[in-house]
Amino acid sequence: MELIWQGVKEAFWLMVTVDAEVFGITLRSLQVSTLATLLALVAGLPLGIFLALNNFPGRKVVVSFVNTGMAFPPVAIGLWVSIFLWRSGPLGSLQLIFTPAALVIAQFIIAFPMVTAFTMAGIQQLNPKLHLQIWALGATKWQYLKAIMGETRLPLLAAVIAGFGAVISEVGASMMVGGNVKGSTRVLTTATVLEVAKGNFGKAMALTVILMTIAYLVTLGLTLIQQQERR
Amino acid sequence: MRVPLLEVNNLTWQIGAKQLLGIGGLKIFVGDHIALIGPNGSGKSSLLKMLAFLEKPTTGDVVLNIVAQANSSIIEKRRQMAVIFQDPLLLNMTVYENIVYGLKIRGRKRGIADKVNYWMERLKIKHLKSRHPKNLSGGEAQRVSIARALVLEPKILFLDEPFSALDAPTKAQLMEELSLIIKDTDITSVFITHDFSEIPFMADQVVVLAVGKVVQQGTIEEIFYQPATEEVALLVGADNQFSGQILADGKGNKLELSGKQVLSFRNSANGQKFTQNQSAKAFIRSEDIRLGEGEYNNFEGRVEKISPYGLQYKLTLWCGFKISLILDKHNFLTMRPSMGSYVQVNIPPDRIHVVGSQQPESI
Repeated sequence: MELIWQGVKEAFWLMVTVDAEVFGITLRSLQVSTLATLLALVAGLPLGIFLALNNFPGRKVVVSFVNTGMAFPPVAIGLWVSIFLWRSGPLGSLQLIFTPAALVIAQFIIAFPMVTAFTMAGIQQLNPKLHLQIWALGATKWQYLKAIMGETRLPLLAAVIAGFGAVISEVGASMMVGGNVKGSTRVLTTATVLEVAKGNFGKAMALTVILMTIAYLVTLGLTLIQQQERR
Repeated sequence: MRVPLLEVNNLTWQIGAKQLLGIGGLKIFVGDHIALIGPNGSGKSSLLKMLAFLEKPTTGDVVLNIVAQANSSIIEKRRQMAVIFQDPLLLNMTVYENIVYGLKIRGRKRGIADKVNYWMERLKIKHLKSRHPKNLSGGEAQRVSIARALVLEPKILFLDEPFSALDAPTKAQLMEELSLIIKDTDITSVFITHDFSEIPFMADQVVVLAVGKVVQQGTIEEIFYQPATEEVALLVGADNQFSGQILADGKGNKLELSGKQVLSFRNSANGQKFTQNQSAKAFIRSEDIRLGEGEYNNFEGRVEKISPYGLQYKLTLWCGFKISLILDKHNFLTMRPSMGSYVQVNIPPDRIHVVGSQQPESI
């Protein structure tokens, strides 16, 4: 009980005093996870729309890959990204291993199947005749896509929430591709692991409180938008 | 020569090896109000999609004679039309935004607000202007969907069972209003329905589809009283059917039933001529058979079953052949037929529709 109390106090103190190191880690976590989620949206949204609206040979296989991607353990993704980015790996010449860019790549791979699958599911749950109705109103291809995305904005927000939630809270991939380098690739989750290893439970708890608060605030914001739309 | 507004030429539509539509020809002229009927799976909705350029035929084409064919895109053709489906299919925006949406995407700018307001008033939905579809009843939502279609001032309006999801009073009211609007504005319309009571309100011509083919086209009277084939007769509710052989007596046509009873008839569906001994089938609507005597076709029948039929009564009689007829409440209470009693039945010859065994596949 003493440990918990001490942790809460330390977390409060670190947040109130805006500890430079903790602030840096928090900012980096937000930057990396936001960028990874945005990239996942840019890539996953069109793919999700394409998969939902088109039939082609092998579609089911592609869909099964996307769905499987949602269940990939971050640590496995971290390992494979590391292998590719190691100096001796196929993309070693890019010298991205243990950089924030590597974190973004790994987190993008985690969020991408989520955004794709949520987008696809959102569009597929629309009344099939709604597509016909939009075409019948005289929509061009772009007007049609805009209308469809407008109709699926709730599932799309869910995709953002799920994607961001998954990447801000993952630790395995960030540890492997980022190496938890102080001032460079240390994010809230990897910093927490390090503090626990060092026996600094109070600081570790403080970091998790910050992490959970961020996750909650971001999710709260998106949820408020989502529920506003629902009314 | 009258140029049709919309013309179907040798259209087929296949999915895999299965042919879903095979329409040799169909012409829709300006001002036509056509009801498209047929059993489930006959291809009504598929044909509507072809006519509205929402689906491409496998072979053949649909020609819209108000846009230059060579230059016109599918979108340009669609923008001459509007479709109202069974479900209102409103977008997740306010009623006003839904109605204005089609105008906006069609690039119309002038007088948008006036047009939208006019149709909201005409369809009595102005008070719903700021509501979202989730807060509308089924009838209100369908009114919005109708306003969204009519505000586009389409040259052709397609209606795919627009009343089938509504309760009876809402349906009756909306149908009456829409039929007045269609007559007022003289929009050419194609209307799909399973409920034949809607046809007189919404159409003056009927096209009957069966297994993807047009099997009969004509006025309501022709379709309901001179069905061209057995399947049309069954579809339009000629529920008394008798097989027999044609007898020629020099004056008209007679059909000898298997029990040797003879029915005199006058009509010949689509001008079909019969030959002696030709196998044929007679179709008679229950409401065309009456209790009492007439010049021809008088039979004595034993009452075998009396069942309520809406606000009327349906009597099943045995006259050496089984026949059913409809009695309204007044006649039923006056005549008071009882189970097992014998009554006199008369079948007017001009209400018997005989179809020969050899029928053309399509017209």
